[in-house]
Amino acid sequence: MTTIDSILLSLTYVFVFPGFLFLAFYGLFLQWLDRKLTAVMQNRVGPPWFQPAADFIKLVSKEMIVPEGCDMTMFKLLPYFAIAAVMTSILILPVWCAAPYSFQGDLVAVIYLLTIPTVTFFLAGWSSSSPYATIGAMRVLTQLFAYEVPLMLSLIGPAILAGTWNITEIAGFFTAHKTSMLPQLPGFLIALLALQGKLERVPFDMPHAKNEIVGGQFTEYSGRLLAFFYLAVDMEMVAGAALLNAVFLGGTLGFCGLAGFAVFLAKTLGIVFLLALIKVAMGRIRIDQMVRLCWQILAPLSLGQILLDVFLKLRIG
Amino acid sequence: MKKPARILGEVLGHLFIRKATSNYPFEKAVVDSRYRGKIAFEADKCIGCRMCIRACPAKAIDIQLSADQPAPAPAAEGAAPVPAKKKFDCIMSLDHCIYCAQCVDICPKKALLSTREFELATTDRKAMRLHYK
Repeated sequence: MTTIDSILLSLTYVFVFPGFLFLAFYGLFLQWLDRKLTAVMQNRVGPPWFQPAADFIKLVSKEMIVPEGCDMTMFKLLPYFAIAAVMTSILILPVWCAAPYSFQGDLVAVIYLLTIPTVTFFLAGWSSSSPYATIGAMRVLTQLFAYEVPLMLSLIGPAILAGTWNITEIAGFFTAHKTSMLPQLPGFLIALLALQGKLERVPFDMPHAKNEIVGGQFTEYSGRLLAFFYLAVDMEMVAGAALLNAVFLGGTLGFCGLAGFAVFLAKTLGIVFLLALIKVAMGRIRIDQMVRLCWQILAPLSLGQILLDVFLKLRIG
Repeated sequence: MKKPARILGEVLGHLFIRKATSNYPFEKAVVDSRYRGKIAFEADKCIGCRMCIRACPAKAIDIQLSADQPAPAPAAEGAAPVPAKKKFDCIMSLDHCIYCAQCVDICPKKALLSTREFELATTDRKAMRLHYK
């Protein structure tokens, strides 16, 4: 009986909360919030609340065209790989209290899991056998090597300060030492910019720059597969915001249940606001500028953040 | 991008001001009072000079002598009969009209007017042909 209960609980975690259903609904909501905030900041009215869901349903109901000469199996499976990776990562992140599955070193696991969607975007473009998609795919990969370094380095700082590689424990450390959050501000801002790159949003949206290379890596995608790719990006936004929330802002701040979930929602909404602000306030840069920015400015800055955290760690003891 | 995020202040300011766009068609669109929409015709002012026909670049307007003319006023005893003012009809083809309102500008008697009506789409082409009397 207990085995059945634990299996049911695991299935609920994976498919309902905080897994697929929660990620999908909250992801679509965050997409709407992002679009609405972008519109309002650009002095426009913006879409109604159901627009992302309407877009998703419309895409799902449309014909799916697979181009000739592409790797059929890869082409059809990739969106589901992306979604599966994000679904796995959210199980390790604290959403309403401690994470459902937490272990020492899960920070590294989440970083790798959140890299998988980007790799699937690359493979999607690569297996499409279209020039636009190939250029998009190459840009995805170039961008991956650029933003991933400052993102990882900036996430290491809090881990060193907390003395653990467990995300829930890092969140617990910052809940206990709230003043330690303040010195993490530069790292948080670097991670925000890097997350912007991970989600391929302005100023780092070169992989699917519409006025240059059509839809980039998704050029040949249509119908259901494209809908699931877009859903994966939305889900990745939830997971990315949850990761930053846990590592830099103390997760649920020690609250559990509904209160903890409310804290999670409030802080992830705040992070999405900041992401939208960056998106609106900046223009798209070139891929070489992006690589230079990440390696020459953001990476040394995040190294400085690590040094600061090592110093603080020595002070705290 | 030499100065990244230099429009940050403006962007944040937009959060608190009235939007430049509207939620049309769910909210009624407000158009300018000088908007050049559907052309209206006032038959009693028209003198049939046909200047509008000559001005119209899209050949969307036609002025014809009306079928029902008013009866002449009864002449005084011994005086010559005074002819009644002729009445004209205006035929507007909304599917030809480009809403430039050149006819309105050129009409010497202001018999043609620009209204603010712009929701003129229809599936029936015959409905696009208006006969003002």
